[in-house]
Amino acid sequence: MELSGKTALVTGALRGTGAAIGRRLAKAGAHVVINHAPDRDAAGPVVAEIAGTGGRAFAVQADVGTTAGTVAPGAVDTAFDSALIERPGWIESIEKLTPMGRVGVPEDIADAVMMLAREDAHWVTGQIVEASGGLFL
Amino acid sequence: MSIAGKNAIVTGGSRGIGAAIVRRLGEGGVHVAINYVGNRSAAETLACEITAAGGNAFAVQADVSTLAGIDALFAACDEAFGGLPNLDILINNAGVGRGDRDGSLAGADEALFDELLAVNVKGPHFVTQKALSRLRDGGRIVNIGSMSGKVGQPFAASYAMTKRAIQSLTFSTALAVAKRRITCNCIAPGAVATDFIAGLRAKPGWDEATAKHTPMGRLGEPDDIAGAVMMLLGDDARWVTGQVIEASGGLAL
Repeated sequence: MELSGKTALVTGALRGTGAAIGRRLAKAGAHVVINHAPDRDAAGPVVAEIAGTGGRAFAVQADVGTTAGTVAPGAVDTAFDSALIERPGWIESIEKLTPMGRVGVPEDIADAVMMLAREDAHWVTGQIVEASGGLFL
Repeated sequence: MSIAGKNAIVTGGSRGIGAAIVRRLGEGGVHVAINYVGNRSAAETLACEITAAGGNAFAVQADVSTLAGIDALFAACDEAFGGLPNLDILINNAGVGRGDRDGSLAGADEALFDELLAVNVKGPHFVTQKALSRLRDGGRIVNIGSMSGKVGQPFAASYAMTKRAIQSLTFSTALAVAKRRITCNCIAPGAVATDFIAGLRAKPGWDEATAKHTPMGRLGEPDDIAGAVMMLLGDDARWVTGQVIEASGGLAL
């Protein structure tokens, strides 16, 4: 598998985009470390889910990791934006504003992270890559 | 993220970065049109190499800096690929630097300026225009830019302008095709060890100095850039569009 033998640290991976990134990297064979500060119990479901699909994951409490690249999501349908999502007409207006015509889902962002995690991307560093379906172009 | 069975056009595909992209596509099972303008033997050798390895590629001579050349390119590709829409991947790679001429702000002449603009700007614009009706939903366009489009380069001002222009083309194209789930992005290479920059590399110590300036400690190779292009072709990259992504080992961050 593409990330076999690699270890990945995902911070803020309890839910939403972070959890999707953890799942995606595990699916590619990486050993995923889920950072769960400060809520240890909440890490359980993500770790269990990854383990249940044959992946490897464990949870730690830590502060931050470093990355060589930044993926900048646009609007993503997660609890992170729940106050906005619940606002009447917000989803429709974002769909209209986003050139690709829909609101992003966590898997869109996780896949963009995966794109940068592959060996193919070894010469790409220090970049800010927007994963937004063209929002704000 | 299988790209096998897709149809691709690589402009300027016979040598350097273009040839590295063609090789990767060929290995991935893509049916590749290798466009070239002058180097027939390089293009045909590359096509044979891919075919011999079980892939599917063909060479197409066409000067993509002219509308007539672009029409000829698509006529040949339509014949090979079949009924429209017939294209999944367009790589606007063809470009000239004319490092053998004085391309400085102070010294560039009109002929040089016009040539750079025709190949590096007019070409990608009209190749993209003609590709619009041929691209299938979910397709991919990758424009090859340059770090020259990011930084001021008084010694190569007109070239640098053309590479800024291709970034602009990337933004407009991305918006034009987004509803069809087609992405358009620009890969901007740093210094790559090809004959494209033979003039610069001929200066004593240039390779060493550039490697030293590059955080990853070496010059880029064509396959480094091809890898960055491949990264954008899979389903994983579906939500990434209108981006200028430097593939430079960290040069000029």
